[in-house]
Amino acid sequence: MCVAGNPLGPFGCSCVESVSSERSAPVDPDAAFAELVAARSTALLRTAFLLAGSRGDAEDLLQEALFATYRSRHRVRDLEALEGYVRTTMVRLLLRWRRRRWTSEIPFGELPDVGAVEGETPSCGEAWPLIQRLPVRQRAVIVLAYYEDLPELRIAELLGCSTGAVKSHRARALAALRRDLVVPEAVGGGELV
Amino acid sequence: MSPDVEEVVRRELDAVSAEVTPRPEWTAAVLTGLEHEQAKVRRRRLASVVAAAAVVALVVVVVGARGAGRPQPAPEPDRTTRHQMVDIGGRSLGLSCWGVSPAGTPTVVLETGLGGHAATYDEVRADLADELRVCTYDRAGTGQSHAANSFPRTARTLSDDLAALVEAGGLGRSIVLVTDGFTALSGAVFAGDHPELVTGLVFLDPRGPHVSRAEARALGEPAPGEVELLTELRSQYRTDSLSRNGEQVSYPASEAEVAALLDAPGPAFGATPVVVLSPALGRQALPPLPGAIRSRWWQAWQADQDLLASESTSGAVRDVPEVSGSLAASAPTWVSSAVREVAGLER
Repeated sequence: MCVAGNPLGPFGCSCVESVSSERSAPVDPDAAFAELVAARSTALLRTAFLLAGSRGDAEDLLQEALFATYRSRHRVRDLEALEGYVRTTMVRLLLRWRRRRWTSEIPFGELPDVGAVEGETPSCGEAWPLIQRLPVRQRAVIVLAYYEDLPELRIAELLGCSTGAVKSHRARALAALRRDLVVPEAVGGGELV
Repeated sequence: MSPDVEEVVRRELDAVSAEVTPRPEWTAAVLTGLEHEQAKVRRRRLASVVAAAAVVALVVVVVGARGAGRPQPAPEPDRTTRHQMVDIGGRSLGLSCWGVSPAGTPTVVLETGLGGHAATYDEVRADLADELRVCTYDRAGTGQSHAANSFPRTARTLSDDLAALVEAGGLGRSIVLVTDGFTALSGAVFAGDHPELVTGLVFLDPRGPHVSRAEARALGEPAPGEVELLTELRSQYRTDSLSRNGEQVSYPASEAEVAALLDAPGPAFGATPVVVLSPALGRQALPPLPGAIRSRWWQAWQADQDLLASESTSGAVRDVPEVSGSLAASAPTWVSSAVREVAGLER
């Protein structure tokens, strides 16, 4: 159960029903929504982009989440936590979008299983295509954990699963990334390529 | 856990997200959509108050009697501004809709010409979206839409896709269809196959079903010393190169489908209002042919436009002055005015 004032970071309250009675002063919902779009659309779109994997899908996801939240605004009593509700809705919509384009994405095949070199840190820029190819739930866990810095308990609430499942998703995702994010080792030589 | 991978992921997500900023047109569309949602809420509140007052008045004044069997109005279709992929049976078409309109008014579908882009309708859409719901879509194999299952495409397969989109996309049971150029053919088939859906038709500089044959005939037989263009055009018709367009739509097959529809006895479009907008300077857009051939081409083009209008008991051809090219982009107010006319909003 959360309290008003967005104590759980950008994703706000865990659900729209669980609001504190000590809510802030009444705010015009229409004005609050317009202000949210004007002021926070960049931040929201960035999260949507990471969750969805492409700009087009991110725009669709965020737009749908905004309208869905607006239509449920009578249940959103703490309007200052609107952004959190929108982010929560994005995650839930993402999991429902079974027929979206990314579900039909076809990975180009297994990446070569080359050995990692001890102590090497992969360079930035290689990871995003690999993150994009993760299954939706694994990608969501990675984004929520490493971009939004949410605790496992909160991620589990958002995904509607146990913390054990979150740990499992994260472990599998990291294992896949660790396997692929490597500096290839020259065949038989051990020299860096 | 592997701290190095986690750190890379963290840095990567920050770096990738930092490059994402909202497109101004997307933000504007979202704000417009929210405004429409808000307007809808206000309308519903007002309607509730009015309905409550009306009920009280009815109870007091007309105790008892008649209005019991009055049918309820159909629920208002979803008028949210949105861009979505609509599944039409194993493949999807990209659909974009704007605007709101009172219940009972039609949805306007703006069909681009072959190779056209929905952006050519931007001004028309902006003009209409305050009064009517306006939609554009990507035909199969264009924009975000999936490719068709079979080729070549014809006016009827394009029309079938549109019918499936109207149904699956929830565009309602009343459509004003605006076509551009060649897509008059698919629009005509759509109106012929689904008269119950079509409230009005606006054909922008339509290409009729007899044009190709008339143009080929006007070119005549090869003559020694003739201009090279004549030879090229004759070859174009002989090899049907027009059908090797980006959407692989067959001209001869489409023209045959529409000719069968229009050449049958009686008005093909019945009483459905039809407005044909014709660029008055369209003749200038014709290829630089010898004068006599050019005249016959222009006459054939105009004859088919007259024919399309005459297939409705409420059809009209309007010449748009000082325009030779795309009417959607060059004469948007003429287009939106014609839409209002066939939608019954303007007389």
